[in-house]
Amino acid sequence: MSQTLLADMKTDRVTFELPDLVVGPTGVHILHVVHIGCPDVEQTRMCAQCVGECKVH
Amino acid sequence: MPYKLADEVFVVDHEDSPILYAPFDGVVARVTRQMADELKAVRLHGLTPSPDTIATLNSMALIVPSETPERALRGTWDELFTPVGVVYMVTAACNLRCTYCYADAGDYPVSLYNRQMALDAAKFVVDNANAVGSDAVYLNFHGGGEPTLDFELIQTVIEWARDYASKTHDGLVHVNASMVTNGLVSNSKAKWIAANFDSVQVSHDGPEAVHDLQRPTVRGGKSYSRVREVIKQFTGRVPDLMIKATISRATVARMPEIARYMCESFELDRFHFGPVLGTGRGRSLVFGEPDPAEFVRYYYEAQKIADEYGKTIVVSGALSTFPNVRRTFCGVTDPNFSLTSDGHISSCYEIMNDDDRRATQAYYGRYNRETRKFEVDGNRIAKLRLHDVNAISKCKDCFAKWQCAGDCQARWYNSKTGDRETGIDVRCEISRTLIRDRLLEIVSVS
Repeated sequence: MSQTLLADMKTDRVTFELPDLVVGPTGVHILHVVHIGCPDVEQTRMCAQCVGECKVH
Repeated sequence: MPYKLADEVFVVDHEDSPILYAPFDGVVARVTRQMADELKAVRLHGLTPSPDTIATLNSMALIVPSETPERALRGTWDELFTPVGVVYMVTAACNLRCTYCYADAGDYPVSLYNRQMALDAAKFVVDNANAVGSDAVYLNFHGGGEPTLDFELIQTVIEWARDYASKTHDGLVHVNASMVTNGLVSNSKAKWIAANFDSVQVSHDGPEAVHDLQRPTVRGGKSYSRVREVIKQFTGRVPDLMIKATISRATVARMPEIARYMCESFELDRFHFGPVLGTGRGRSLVFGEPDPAEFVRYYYEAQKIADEYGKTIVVSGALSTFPNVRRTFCGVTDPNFSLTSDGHISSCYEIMNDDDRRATQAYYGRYNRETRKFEVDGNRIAKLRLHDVNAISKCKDCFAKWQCAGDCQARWYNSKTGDRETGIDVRCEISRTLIRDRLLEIVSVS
């Protein structure tokens, strides 16, 4: 991965819309898929100096 | 019926193993180079994906009706201010002169912390806890300097707050005390801390040569032996004890050695390794921020050594959140109720000096000595609450955004000039690499 600067925009997200759903053969581009489960929303705050142990709320 | 790609789907482009990651759907998939390049073109040129690619995405339930509600986490405009925690930014004075100090500790004028304000803040959060139904309040003693240099303040506040909490609101509010310290304290102070604090993080950089190189005393002396001894005194007594080793450009290659030292020296399960933050003296050429690729490389080596001991090296940032999600990294968006010695209320407990050019962004109120009330700008509070990862344009399309949440916002601006920093985004690089590697691991070992 090339080094990014503080101001660099990242470009990983993909979005698109379709007027209709027209599908071809299923899954021809998947080499391996893993379902890791839907995430929880993390409430603990950390900071650059800690890993959340200070429990500042 | 119109359809769309599910919200928050990212292509993590890595050599021959591009990955598709949908954090809110819990999907991690290794996909063909052809599909990754096609999706990249879709993003760049607004093209419509091929039927094969749409079918592949559909097979993972990532094609959804256009009216599907947004998945992103959003804050709300809220001007109410009832904090149940307070951060006392005790002093700018320090008995060490660490080579990389983000706060320039010891370089700023020192003023005695306002005692009445400190007690009024404790009363404020205890009363708030009762009002909002919280069973605990959090008193945190922090830098920029070394908080234990005003130990009388710490003792007074904790003892007063616990006494007040026990006598009011049916004694149902627990007073939690936490601190970040350099550990250079006397035996009597160490004993009191061990008996009264719930959580302490001690800064200790590793073996003697490493620690004393980076953390000399104010007169250039050594601090290693005393700090090590104090950590031993805390071990088994402070419920949440953490050691933090700060990793600089000068010591990054020694992370494995530091890990072995920590594992063999201290009976703790986890150790925190953090890169130097490139503000204050952290802009040092010798002891400044480490190269992010080297940090990651040596972090993995350090963790391998820790594995031998059944222990963990943790880093502050995205990895400790994965696979969960968050929209805000630290308390700057809550905002933190951080009190400077002269009564400013700051959202960030790294910004505590009036001549810090970032203070105009971080300060949102102050203590009124006449009324003994904390006067805050509700409009500023509401704005701070919305300044989460959704408001950070450079993170908008980053695959690690929901774990990193923009990370530390204080490092984006120069404390002395107020100018936007332009250098390598070390913490961003580290977070992106660690999350990418975790994704690769998931699809390779499953």
